[in-house]
Amino acid sequence: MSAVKLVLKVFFLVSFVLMTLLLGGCWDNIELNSISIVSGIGVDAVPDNPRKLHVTLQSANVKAFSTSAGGGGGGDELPFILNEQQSISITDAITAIDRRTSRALFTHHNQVVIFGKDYCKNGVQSAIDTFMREDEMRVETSLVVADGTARDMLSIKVEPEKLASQWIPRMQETISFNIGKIDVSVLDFSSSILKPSAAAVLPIIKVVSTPFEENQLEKAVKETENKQQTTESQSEEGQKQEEGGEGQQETKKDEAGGGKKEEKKGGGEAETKDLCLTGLAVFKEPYLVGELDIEQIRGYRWLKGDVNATGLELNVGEGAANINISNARFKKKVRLDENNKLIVDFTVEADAAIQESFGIDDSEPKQYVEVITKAVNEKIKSEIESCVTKAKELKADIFGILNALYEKQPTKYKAIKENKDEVFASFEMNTDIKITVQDTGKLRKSVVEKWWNDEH
Amino acid sequence: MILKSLFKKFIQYQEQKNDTTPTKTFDAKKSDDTDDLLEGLKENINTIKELLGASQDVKYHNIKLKGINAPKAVLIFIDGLVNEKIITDGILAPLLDVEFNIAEGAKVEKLAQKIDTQILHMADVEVSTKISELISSLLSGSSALVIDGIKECLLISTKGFPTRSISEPQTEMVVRGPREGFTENLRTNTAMIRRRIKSPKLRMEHLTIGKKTDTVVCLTYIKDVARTEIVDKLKERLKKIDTDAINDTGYIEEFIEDSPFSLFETVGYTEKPDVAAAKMLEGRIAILVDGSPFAITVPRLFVENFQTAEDYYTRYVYASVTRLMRFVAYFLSIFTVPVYIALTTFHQELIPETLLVTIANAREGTPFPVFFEALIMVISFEVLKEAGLRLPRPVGQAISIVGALVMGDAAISAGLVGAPVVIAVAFTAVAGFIVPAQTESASILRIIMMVISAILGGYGLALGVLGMLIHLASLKSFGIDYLTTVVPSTDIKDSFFRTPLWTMVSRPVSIVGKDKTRMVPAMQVDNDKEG
Amino acid sequence: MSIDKSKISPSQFVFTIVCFIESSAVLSSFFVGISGRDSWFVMIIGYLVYLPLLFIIAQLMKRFPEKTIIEINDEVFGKVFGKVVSVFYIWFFVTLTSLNLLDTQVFASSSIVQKTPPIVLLATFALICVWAVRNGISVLTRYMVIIGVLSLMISVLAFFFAIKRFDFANLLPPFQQKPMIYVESAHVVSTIPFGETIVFLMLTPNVKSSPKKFGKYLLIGTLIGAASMFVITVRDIGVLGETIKFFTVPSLETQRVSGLSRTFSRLELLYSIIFIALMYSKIVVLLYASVSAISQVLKLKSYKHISILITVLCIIYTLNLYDSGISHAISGMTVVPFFWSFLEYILPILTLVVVMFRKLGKKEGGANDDDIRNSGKRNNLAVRPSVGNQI
Repeated sequence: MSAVKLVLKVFFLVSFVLMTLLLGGCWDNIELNSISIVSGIGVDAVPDNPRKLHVTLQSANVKAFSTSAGGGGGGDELPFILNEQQSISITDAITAIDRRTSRALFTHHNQVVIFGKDYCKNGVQSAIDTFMREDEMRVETSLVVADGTARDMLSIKVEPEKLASQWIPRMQETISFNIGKIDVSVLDFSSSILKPSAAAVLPIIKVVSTPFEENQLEKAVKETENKQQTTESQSEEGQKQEEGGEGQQETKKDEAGGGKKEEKKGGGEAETKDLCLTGLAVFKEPYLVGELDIEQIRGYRWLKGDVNATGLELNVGEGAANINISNARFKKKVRLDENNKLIVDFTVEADAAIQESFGIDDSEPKQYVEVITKAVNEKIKSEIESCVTKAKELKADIFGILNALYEKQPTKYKAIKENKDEVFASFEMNTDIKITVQDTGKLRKSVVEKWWNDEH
Repeated sequence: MILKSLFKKFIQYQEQKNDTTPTKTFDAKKSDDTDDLLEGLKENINTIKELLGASQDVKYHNIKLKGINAPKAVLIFIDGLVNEKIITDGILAPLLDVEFNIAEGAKVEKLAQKIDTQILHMADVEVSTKISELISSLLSGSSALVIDGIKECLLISTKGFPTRSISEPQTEMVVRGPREGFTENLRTNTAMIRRRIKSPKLRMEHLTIGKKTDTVVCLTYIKDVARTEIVDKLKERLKKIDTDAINDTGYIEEFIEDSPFSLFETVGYTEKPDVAAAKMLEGRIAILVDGSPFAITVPRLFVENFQTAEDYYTRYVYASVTRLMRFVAYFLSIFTVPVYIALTTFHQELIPETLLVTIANAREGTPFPVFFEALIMVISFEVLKEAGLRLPRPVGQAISIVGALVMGDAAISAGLVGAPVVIAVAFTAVAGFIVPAQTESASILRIIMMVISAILGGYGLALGVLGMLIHLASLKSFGIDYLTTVVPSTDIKDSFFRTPLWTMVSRPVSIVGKDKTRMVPAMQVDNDKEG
Repeated sequence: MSIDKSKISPSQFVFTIVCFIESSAVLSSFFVGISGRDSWFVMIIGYLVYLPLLFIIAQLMKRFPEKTIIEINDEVFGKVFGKVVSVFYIWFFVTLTSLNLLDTQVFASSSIVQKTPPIVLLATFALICVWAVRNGISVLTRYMVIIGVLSLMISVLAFFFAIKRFDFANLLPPFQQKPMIYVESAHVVSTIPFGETIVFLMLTPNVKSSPKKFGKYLLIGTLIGAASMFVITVRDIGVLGETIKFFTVPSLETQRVSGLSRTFSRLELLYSIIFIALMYSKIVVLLYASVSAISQVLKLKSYKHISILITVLCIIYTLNLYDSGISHAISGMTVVPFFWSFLEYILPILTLVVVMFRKLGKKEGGANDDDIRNSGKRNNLAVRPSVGNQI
């Protein structure tokens, strides 16, 4: 072919290709300053309309995070932007919110999904489907339940993360070993409710008022004088002091993370409030059926076999001790006996180290250790039992016992499949707890023995 | 049509390619028939004067030889190209001392040879009958002795032009290793190579290329180590070159390379004789050109971009680390900016949240999309680089400071570009200098990849990488695949890393000819065996 | 008498097979969606079912080492009927190319670049593949070793990243489902990833090795591919548990969920890179097979002329294959395996039967007409300088 034709052909070919690509527009091009990065999604129930959802989206206000001199400190600005919408489904709500924002909503970096408690009672199915199906929502996002409404939780400014939706995942990462990590993702949740046990737990987070402005200690003393609280809370306080945490105390039980805040129905002012993990929400299939409180959380963890190390406080006669458990090993065996009664043999073996011991006779080391061991075993057993009782009451197999039965003996499971709830509600548990006290700290005997029984 | 006029030049070129008109005649010849010297001195000198013109530096020294019936002679030389002392001592002194007694009317046979072998005190003398050869030699620095009455002339090598002394090459500095560099004189260069390879199998074949420049081109290789097919192919390609001038080896490079349209070089160059010698010992062929301190080596593989002379003089551990680093730096310098563009415009979900917030913060208030920011920075960097080369040294420092401050800091403060882009481009720039041989291809590739990633994001980038890899895989350098040592083969000992010298028992299998082994295997010291 | 005379080394051949099979591993929903928890078992069965076919392919390769399947068909079934059979194969290769292009485009559309029109994705990818094919088979397969090794390494690495979320209990209890499910799933496994290796009958003349060893190479290649597929499947089941049946691309979800820490959490980048590399390697082989087959049937001198044409036709074919993603998924689980069984199992069995019956092809050590005719031609190959190829 002649030179002219060749040149023309090449020219047209190249220009067509280039024009298609360049003029057609870079279709997926999203400039960073045209998106609003959503970091938290809250789903609440609308009070009168059970089919509708109240969706709250919390996005980071980028300017408040600037570190250079040019951006400003954002002290007065809220570090986040809230967008709310009531709609039938989450994606529907997001589409509607699109009309109200100048930026495109970018949900890929969503950190946490908060369900309001009322919404959970009606069943979280629609939300779960959205999060599992929609490509932009990642299946490993954590789920939490708000004690109250998700919207309130997302509208406060917390320290140091500034956004509740960033505070919650951080807390879950760094939570102390007392509670252990309770980080349930959408995937885990779905997996759990699809399995034979059909039950799952989610952490409950509550908004509480900030501690530092009040004198917590004074308040606590006043309250105990007034209310005569149960011994539980006292030992909770004792343990809290020992932990050397923030020293934020309230009568309500708290153990982890930041301080506590009371819900202040403020006039939209961003007071420094805090969030606190107050319990576990128990789900039977996608419906919220009950709660476990802090005490029962540990029992739950014992049964799940998730505890690696934790601290325990004991009351031994007139004294108290604080034990550090480490290197815990669990064995769980599930079986059905002749009457189709579910029996669980549960064994715990762990090492204990004594952190504090006050008022316990330690003249005879062997006896001392025995006393402590006995107390530890009893304590653990009581924790487990309190949790088991509650679970039985709720008829929710959060421990995965039915799963274990199904996995090892599927035929036997099939036999009781019809009335698994009843079978679960009446299951028997044989616990065998073997704790060995390895270590008594730096001291062999208490230095302050002399003053144990002093009354002041 | 408009298009036709735009592309007229290209079309002309295409048509000329198919043109087969004979080339013009060689400059030094007047015409084909009259290239021989005549017997008469006057006629010869007139022919020569006609060819050379009235240049003042061409000297004609008339000699009247002693003796009865001794002929007249003229010594022609070009002032500046010759060493006058040699002419005096070696040519004129003996010539004017001898008595030439010639019988009346007798034909003096072999006078030229007699003068050559018996009289002159010069070692490098040639006898010639052609005017073209006389002119060529004259222009190269020889002196021509034309004698009346004989058809032969003597071409005596009296080269004495000034040349640069041997110094450290600026482009290939080493910390450890020889610091000699080639100079512009071909003879010095060949001597340097001869000194390094004292094998009788070292061949130096000369060709003359270039109608106006008459440049001597020297092909150097070691027989049996270099493959004969490659040598033959190279000679064939060199012989096809028909051009006016060969100013530098770079000219030859473009005429002989395998893929003229590719971004990647298939012909290598070096300024150091030890590097050239090492390459020849692996089976390559070096081409030296009179007038250029750069030798080109053929064939060249992709790995050679990352091999420097120093790799072989330092120990293998650190050498391997630096070589890996070079590979990594090369790819980083091409892909950092495109990846940054792709991630921040298409795939924000892949960036960790805190980093994303920081980058988003930096992007607030900047007017241009990321692609344009990056393009501006990359182009200004290229401009700076080029300016830095051309500036005289004292001013260079000032420009570099201005460049850094203006381009970097002020642009960020003014809000024209974001800080992350500047960091990415700065890193790219510095990384690009680790592999000096490839900065050209890296710059162009970078811009192409930037455009592709701005259009289609990560997907486009993946396709771009694939395209680049396919192109690399299809390149050949004189019949040998460009990627030979990179894709696993036995030659991997010298590619991403360098195994110890005592493991490199055989030469690179893909290039080498018959002589395959370098050394006795397993020569490292084994303390147990030594006893 | 094949069209492209360059030779590839045995290791490149083996790794081409590995890449081929692994690319199906990363798109595992077509069989995992059926058998869920027991997919690992199904995979093993599928591989065992495939082994007889492997033997057949090896036999065909051994008996006709210098011929592609098209030429074998001509010889075995006669000129006319052989062409008919070849047309079936051509349809098979072209459809496979289009299906894989569709897979790539669907994946890219759904997770990497959402809004770009599919034709742009298809066209750019196909253009790159055709460029590689035009450069010949040694360029095509040059990177197979690297891609194969890299993808194996990344699968293993991803396994380690996923260990945090790996729960062995998710694999229990096994064998609880209806037997028909296992049969169906095994059928899918034996036809879609493994049966497609019949394509390598188009590459036989290009491999630089003795005919006896073909079986060994096939076995090694498929074994490595199957092993990596096994590891990937087990990992996915362990991490995703019950939900694995519901996802469209389970491996991607596994990668998204696993991660070292908050900074290293976005590992689906790795997956996407490997996916594109593997799909490239598969499509490029299939495209080469299609183009080469068509040019052999039409007796063209070189396949380069029609390569772009065929590619464009493939792109148009791809866009019209299915009207929605759902029908694609369902077809992949139910319809396609039956088509493929005919082409991948029945036809080759027929071919081999006829071969053995008519005693065609080269036997070990014996020469036949083909050999004698070809020996003269074979010498010509020595004229080309034998440089630049791998050992």
